[in-house]
Formats: sequence, C-alpha cells, structure tokens
Amino acid sequence: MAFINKFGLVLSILLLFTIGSIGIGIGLGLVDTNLILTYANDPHHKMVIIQIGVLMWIIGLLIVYTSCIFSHEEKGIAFQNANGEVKITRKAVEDFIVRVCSQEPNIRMVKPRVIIKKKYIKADLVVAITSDVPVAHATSELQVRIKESLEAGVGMVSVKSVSVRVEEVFYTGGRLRGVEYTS
Amino acid sequence: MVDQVGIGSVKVSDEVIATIASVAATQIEGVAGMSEGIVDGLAKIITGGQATKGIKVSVGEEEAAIDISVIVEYGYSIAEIGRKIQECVKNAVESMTGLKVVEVNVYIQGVHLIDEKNDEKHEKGRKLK
Repeated sequence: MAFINKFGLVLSILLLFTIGSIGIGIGLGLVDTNLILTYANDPHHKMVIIQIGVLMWIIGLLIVYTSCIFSHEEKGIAFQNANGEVKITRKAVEDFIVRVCSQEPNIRMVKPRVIIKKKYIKADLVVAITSDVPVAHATSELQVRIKESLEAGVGMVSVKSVSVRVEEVFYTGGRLRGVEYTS
Repeated sequence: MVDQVGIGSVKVSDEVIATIASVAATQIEGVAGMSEGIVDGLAKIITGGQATKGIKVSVGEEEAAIDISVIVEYGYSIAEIGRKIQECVKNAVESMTGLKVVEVNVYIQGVHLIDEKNDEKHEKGRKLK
C-alpha cells in the first residue's frame, strides 16, 4: 500500500506539472487550442480521455484510502506522566522482538514488522526455523513468548496479535526454501 | 540560564545541561547508551565531535525541557527504564544547575543485547544463528 501511495503521489505530481505546462503553453500561445479540441471531439479519443479520467479518480481514491490507514498508525508507543513523555519507537519494539527471538533455539532468522495503534500493537513476523521441532509447535510457542515478553518488557501495552510466517526451514544438511506456514 | 543575585549573572550552557543529563541517564541500569540521530551525526561532523549525542535541551530563564534518546539493554522493562531516566535526569539537572526541569521526554530508539558484539552470528540484529 505504501508503494501505491508513493506511486500515486509521483503520478499526481506529474499530472499537475502536465496540466500546468498545458496551461502555460495555451497562455503563451505555444499550444494550439483547436488541435486539443479536435482531438477531444473525436469519438475514439473521447473514450481514451474518459479512461484516463477514471484512472486518475481511482489513483486519487487509493491515495486518500492509504493516507487514512497510515494516519491511524502511530510511530511509537507513548506514555505521558508528570515528568514528561516516554516514547518507545517502533524500531525499538522491533529490536526487542529480535532479541526475544534470539533466545529461542529453533528460530534462525526473524524479520519483524510492528503496527502500533493507539490502544494496542500487532506484530507480524517472518521467520526461519530449524527442522528439530514441528513447525506448528514452534510457531505457537513463539507467538505466546512474543506476546508475553512484549507486554512485560515494553510495559503498559496490549498485544492484540502476533502473526508468524515461516519463510524457511533449516534441516540437517541444508535448508528448504519457500515453505509457508501462517498461524 | 541567568542567575541574578545582584552581583552578576551565572550562565549554564545547553551543552553542560546536556552532559549532566547524559551522565545521569547512562548511569541507570538497563541503559545501553545514547542514541545518535542523523542531526547529531551531522552536527558532530560540522563541529568536530563536540555535539552531545541524543540530547536536545531547551532552556528558558529558569526552566528547562530535555529530550533524550536512548538505547536500552534487553531484559529490562522498557517503560520502567523510561520513568527512571525521567526522574534521574530531572533530579540531576535540578540539583546541579538550580533550573526547574519542566519535562524530560525520553525516546527509546533501540534495544541492545548485552553480548551482541561477541556473537559473530548476530548480524544487524536480524540473522540470529
């Protein structure tokens, strides 16, 4: 969604520049308005213009939608008290998850992504595990461990969900790629 | 800061307050160090390493506000460390300078594992083993 947002932003800027350039061109007499009118009056070209217009609307709506989503996402967990504010950044929370995972013998790699909302946080993890234990067992244990550690270690925060996606399984003699398991 | 007692004034520079805050914060158990941001890094390059990293001080006539960015050690309650930093920094600055510290804002920027540097397999805190 972030990509769509950036892409939409770039496209919107380009569109504004184009419209601005056409306006300047018409004003300075560099663009023939009759040529534009002739193009726009052609039935085939009308369809093209309508399609471009619809596309612009869709991109605009996507930008508004993604902006609404990201405006609700916090950049960190903040606690206010008499002495000021304590803010734990998202990176610190993600670091914390990496540290928790480093204590787990079956977890070989972790890529955490934390979504912080006003009243709770959600953690999405991509992990690589060893083949010593059943995947379901390892991931469910990890979910509980992460939730408990976050609530105890970060403090004053409710963990709504911990999603784990197993991207790789390491077994004796090599590793399996592309194994997916989401719990 | 200006302390007028009739025979002149005493000024305590922002850097001194930042140093006091930095020392107070790093003495707390569970604080791994100060966090250096991009602005601090640039300031250090420009000023030749004189910037106090991770601390921003706003000083008025008799009051001060401090923003402090730290990295904490894994295994401690992060919220608890934050509160301790606020109290220690406030007490240290108030007792040493006489300024009233109105707020200490703490930003926890990262979590550090104590034996992380010795763990060769630990790359950038992501690949674990």
